[in-house]
Amino acid sequence: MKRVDEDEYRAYVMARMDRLQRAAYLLCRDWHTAEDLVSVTFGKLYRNWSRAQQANSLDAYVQTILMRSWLDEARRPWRRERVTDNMPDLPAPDRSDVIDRLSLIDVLSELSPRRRAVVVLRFYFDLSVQETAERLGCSPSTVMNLSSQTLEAMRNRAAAINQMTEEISS
Amino acid sequence: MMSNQELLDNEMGSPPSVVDVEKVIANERRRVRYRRLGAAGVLAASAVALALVVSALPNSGAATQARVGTKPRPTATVSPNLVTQSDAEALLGGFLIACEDPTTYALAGHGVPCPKVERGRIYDVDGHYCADDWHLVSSQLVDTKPNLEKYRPLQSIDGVILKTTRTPIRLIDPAYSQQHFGGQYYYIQIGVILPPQQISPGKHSLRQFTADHSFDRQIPFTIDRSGTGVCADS
Repeated sequence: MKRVDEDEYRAYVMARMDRLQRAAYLLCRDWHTAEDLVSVTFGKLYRNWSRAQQANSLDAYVQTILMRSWLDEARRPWRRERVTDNMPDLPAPDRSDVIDRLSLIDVLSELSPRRRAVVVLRFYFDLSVQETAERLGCSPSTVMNLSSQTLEAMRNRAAAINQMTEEISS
Repeated sequence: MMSNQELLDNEMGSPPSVVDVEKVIANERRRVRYRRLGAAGVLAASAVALALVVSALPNSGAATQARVGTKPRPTATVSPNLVTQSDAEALLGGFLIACEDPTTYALAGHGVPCPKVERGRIYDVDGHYCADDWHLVSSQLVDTKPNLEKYRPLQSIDGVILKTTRTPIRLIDPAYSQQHFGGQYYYIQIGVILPPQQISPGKHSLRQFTADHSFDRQIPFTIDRSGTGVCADS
């Protein structure tokens, strides 16, 4: 890569670093893994910089690399978490501070890697269904199905948490 | 009212550290250097092999003298950058993850020339590949033996299911496995080798998936015509 291109590349990744690291954290819920994911993404971007610059949207190109890297990473055994497409039954709490730690991000972490990717693209990057489908390489109807099922599961989860909170407070 | 992004930003806090961009750039520069060295090595090896063959021919000196003063015939040459059938076969047997870092190229094994992995293995989203190359279309997984035995992904290009080969389950180099995965793991590849021109120039879609859809990956890619795009590097 020429020095002038490298300067442009450097400026771009520095400007997007924070946003991408946060998005990566939402995907994997671990800052170190998030840093690894963003490093991999930036490495791939460096290799394809001239092609990336010709893309319709450089941000879209990078988001796609990040999501693909995440889905690849999630398949590796040393990163593997217990993931499920069905929300697990809520465990019976024995301490009220359990409730305090159940945040939106905690709920997100119970989703499968692909569903997390949908949630991050749709609700963190605020992308449309069509844009999300393009980033993930699937059809808009798949994204709509995944979004609606995921939101429903998250609503149920939130309702269960609220009910537990009321029971513990009363 | 706060946006979703602001809400989540507040909840997650700030990253404790940032990616070292200079390190990423240094790694990528090193990777490019290794690729060039790899290509130069293949060229040098081809030249040495050719010299050995010529010197081993009976009366090779006389044959050379007899041609002096005559117009040399054009000879077909194979570019050292082209991915050959034996390269693609080696890629199918290799531990390709080791090719992600130049310092672990040696562990790729099976004679895989790592600089050819990016060119020969159809795997990257929006990747460009050359119609003149042999290609490997594969899915590689690192896991425990019992999990690998169950791993049976399917692959299709433009909806046509590919007939795939399963490599034996192989042990990963113990030191590498311990360092990168925190224990001893194994790897397997499920792939198919395609000769040049098998996939027509233009845009295509590779899908790697399992029957239960627990794994489903779409990989759009482009095959460049002879002499254009990636083929221009041949």
